[in-house]
Amino acid sequence: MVQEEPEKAGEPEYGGTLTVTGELVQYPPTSWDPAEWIWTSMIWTEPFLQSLLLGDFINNGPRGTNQWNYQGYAGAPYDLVIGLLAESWTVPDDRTIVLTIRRGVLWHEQPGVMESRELTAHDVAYTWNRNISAEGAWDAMVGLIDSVTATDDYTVEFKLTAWMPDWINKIGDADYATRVYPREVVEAGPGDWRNWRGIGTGPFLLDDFVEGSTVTYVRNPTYTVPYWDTATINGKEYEIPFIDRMVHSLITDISAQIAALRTGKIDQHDNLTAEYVQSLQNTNPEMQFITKPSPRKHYVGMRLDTEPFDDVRVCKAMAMAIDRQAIIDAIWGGEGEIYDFPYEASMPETLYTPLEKLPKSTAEQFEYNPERARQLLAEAGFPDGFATTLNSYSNEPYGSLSEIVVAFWKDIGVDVSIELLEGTTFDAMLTAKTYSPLTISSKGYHIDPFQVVNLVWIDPFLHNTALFDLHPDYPELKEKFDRAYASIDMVESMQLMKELSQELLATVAFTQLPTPFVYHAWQPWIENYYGSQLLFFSPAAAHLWINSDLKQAN
Amino acid sequence: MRAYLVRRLLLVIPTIFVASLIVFFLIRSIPGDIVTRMAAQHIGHWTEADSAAVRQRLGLDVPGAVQYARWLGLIRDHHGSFSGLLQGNLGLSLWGQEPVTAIVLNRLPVTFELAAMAMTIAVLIALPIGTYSAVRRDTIGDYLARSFGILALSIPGFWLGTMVVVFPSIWWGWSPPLELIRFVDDPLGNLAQYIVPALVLGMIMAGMIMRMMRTMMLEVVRQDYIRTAWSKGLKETMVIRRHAFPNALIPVVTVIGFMIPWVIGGSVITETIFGLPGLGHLLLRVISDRDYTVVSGVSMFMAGVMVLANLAIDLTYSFLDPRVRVDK
Repeated sequence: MVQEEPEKAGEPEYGGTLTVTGELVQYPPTSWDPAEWIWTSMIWTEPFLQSLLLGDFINNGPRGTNQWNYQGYAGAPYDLVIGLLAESWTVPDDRTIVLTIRRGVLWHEQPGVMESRELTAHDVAYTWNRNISAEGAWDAMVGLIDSVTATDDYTVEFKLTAWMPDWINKIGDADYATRVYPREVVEAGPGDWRNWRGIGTGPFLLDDFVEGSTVTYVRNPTYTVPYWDTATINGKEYEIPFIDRMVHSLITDISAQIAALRTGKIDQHDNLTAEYVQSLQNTNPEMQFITKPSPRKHYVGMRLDTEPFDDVRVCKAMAMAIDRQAIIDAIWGGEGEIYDFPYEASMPETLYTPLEKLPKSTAEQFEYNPERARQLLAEAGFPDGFATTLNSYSNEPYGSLSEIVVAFWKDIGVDVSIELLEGTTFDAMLTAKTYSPLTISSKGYHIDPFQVVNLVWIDPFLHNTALFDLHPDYPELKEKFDRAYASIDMVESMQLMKELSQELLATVAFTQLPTPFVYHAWQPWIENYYGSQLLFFSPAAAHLWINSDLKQAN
Repeated sequence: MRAYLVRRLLLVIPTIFVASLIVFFLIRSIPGDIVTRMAAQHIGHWTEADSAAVRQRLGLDVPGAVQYARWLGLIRDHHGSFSGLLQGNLGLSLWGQEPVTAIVLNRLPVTFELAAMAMTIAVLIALPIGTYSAVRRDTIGDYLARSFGILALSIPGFWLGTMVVVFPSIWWGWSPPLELIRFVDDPLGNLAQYIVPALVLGMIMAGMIMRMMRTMMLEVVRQDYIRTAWSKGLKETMVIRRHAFPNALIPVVTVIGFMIPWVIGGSVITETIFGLPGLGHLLLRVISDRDYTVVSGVSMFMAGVMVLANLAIDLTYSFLDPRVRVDK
C-alpha cells in the first residue's frame, strides 16, 4: 500500500538540475568496480545500481509514517526494509535464503556496451558470484555465503554455511550489500567510469565524472521498478525522478561550499555545523535546515592492557572528570548531545538503551563529578594522579577535543601530553598498536547492530580505533555476541544485543565524548524534500522537484 | 653554445635520477601506507590476511629497493613485465589501477592554464610597477608600489583565496563556478572560471617579481652606460626601454623561472579552494590516500618540468646575456 505524500507538497514540476555536496565529498570515487570492494564505489554507484532490498522510504520515511528519517546512509532498521529489486523473500531454513526478483525492471541501454533488457535472477547470481570470488572480497561480509544460484529467471537462492542474522544488511540492504550490475559492463571494463555511463536500473544514470570536480547523473528515462518508480502527490501518481540532472560537487573546501550554498549554486548540503548555519541564516533567511546528530561519534580510547588503565576505577575517573556539556558549549556552540553509543540513539529501544535507563553504576560515567573522579583515582592507588600521553588526529575537532579533555584531566591530577598526527599516520599507529595509552578517535555511522558491536567493540582487527585491544579479558561478552549471532529468533537475538551493549558500557572501556549536531541545509526552491540523505540514497532525490519560479525569483 | 647545451642536457640525467630517488622513497617513508587507507574505507571488513593480499596484489610485499627498480623498469614488475620510467611508464594508480600518465595528462591542462595565467598576470603587474617604482624612486608612487609589493608578499595565498570566495558571496552573491568549464566547450566561461584564482596566485607572485624588478632597475640605472645614454640626450622612455629595462630583466627572468615550482606549490591550495581539478589538487588527495605511484608519478613529472624549466631559463639567460655563452 503506497502511502500518499503529505498535503504540504505542492504541484510537482519536472526538469532542472539539483547540485548537492556534503559529508561524502571526503570520499570521492576511487574505484568504479564493485568487485574491488571499496566503499566509495558503493556510494557513487548507488544512484544507478540497486540493491535487492531497501528501507521503505515511501511508506515509513518523512513523507509517510516518519518512523525513519533516512538522514544517515542508505541503511534502515531490519523491520523497515522491503524489496527493491527483489519482490519478496523466504527463509526456508537457517542455511537458505530465496529471493524473488521483480519482473519488468529494465537495464538502460548504452550503445557500445549493452542493449536495454530485463534484469533477471541471472544478473543477481552473476554479480554475487563475481564479487564473492573477487580477490579483495570481504570475508566478514560474504564469508558465510556458500553459493548463489539463479534457479529460474526470477528466483535466486543464497546457500549459507551458517546462519546470518544480519543477512538483510549483508545480502539485501543498500548500506553495505552488493548492488546488482550487468555482465556487459564487466566485459567492457568495469574500472573505467565511462563504461558505466548510461547503464543501470536506478532512478539516475551516470553521465559525467570530472575527478576532483563533479559527478553528474541524469534522469533514467526508462526507470521501471514497480512501486519505487512513482510518487503519489496529492492523490495523483507521477513518474519519477522529477529532476533532469543531479550534480555532486566534489569541492572539499568548506568556505567554497558555503559560498556556493549562499549564492544558490549548491541546492543542498548535508553536513554543516552550527557556526555556518548561523551565518547562512543571516544572509539566506529562506534557506531550510534540519538537524541531526553527527554520524561521527567521538571517544577517548584507553589501553586496558597498560597500567593504570587496566583498573576500571581509573577508566571511570577519567570519564567522570570530563564536563561533556562544557565541550558542547565550547567547541560546538551548544549544539550537541550526550548519549551512549555504540547504537544510534535513533534506533528503537528494543536495541538502544537511553542514558536515563542505564543502570546507575553504568550511567555514572557520563556525569561530570571531579570529586568522585579524584576519589576513584585515590582508591586505585593514584591519589596524586599520574602522567601519560595522548594521540589523536591533527585536524578538527580532534585537536580541540584533545586540549579540552586534557584540561579537565589536569583538574584531577592527571597530566597528559598531547601528540597530534596526520590522519593516515595516526591510523597506521592504531593498526600497528603503537599508539599511546590514550587516544581520541571516532567511529562512523552504522545501523546494523551486529556490525556496530562487531566493529567497534570486539573485532580483533579494527583499524580505526583503539578499542579492539581492550577486551581480551571479557570472553563472556564475545560468547554473548556469538550466541546472539547464532540465534535464528530475531527477538531473542536483539535482546541479547541490547544486553551486550549495556555490559560493554559497564566495562568503561572508553570515555564517550559528546556528539555534535550537524545540519542538512537546502534551498527554498527544493520541494517535496524533508532533509533525507541524497547522495547514497537516491530515492529521496527521485522524489523531490525544483520550483523553477521560486529559484528564478531568488 | 652547442657544447653548453650538451653539458646542460647531460646534467639532467643525474638530476632526474636523484629526483626519482627522492620522490619514490620520501612518500613511502611517511608512516601509514595505502593498506591503512584501504582498511579505513573497508571499515570492519578487513583482516590481516586482507592486508597481506593487497600488499601482494599491489606489489608492495617486496623490499623498497626492489619496488624502486620495478618502478624504474630495470627489473620485471609483479605482473612479470618491464614497465617503468625507462619505458616511459609512470605505473598504475594503486587505487583504481588507472595509468598514472593518463591521470597526469588529464589534470595537467588545469594546472598549466592556471599557472600560465597566474604567471602572465604576475608579470604584467610586476614589471611595469617595478620599473616605475625604480624610475620614480622615493615618490608617492614608489611608496605605493613598494607597499603593494610588501602586502602581496605578506598575504598568505590560502587566506586571500578564502577571502575572495567568502566576501563576494556575502556582498554580491557571487561565488566561483562549481563545475569545470573546459576551454573547448566555452572559452569565455573557462577564462572567467580561471581569472579569479589566477589573480590570487598571480598577485602574490607579482609582489616578489615587482621587488626584484625594482632592485635590478635601480642597480642598472646607476651604471655608466645609462649615464652615457642620458648624456647623449636620449628621451627617458628610450633610456629605460632600450637600455635599462632589458638589462634589469636578466636576473628577473631567472627569478620568474625559479617561481615555477612555487606556482605549482601554490596551486595546491588555490585549486582546492576554487575546486579546480588540477595536479595540485590531485597531489593533495593522493598523498593523503598514500597512492604511491600517483604521488611519485606526479612528483616525477613536476621534477621533469622543473629541470626543463631551469634548462630553458639557462638558455634564455644566455640569449639575453651573451657573456654566459661560455663556449664563445
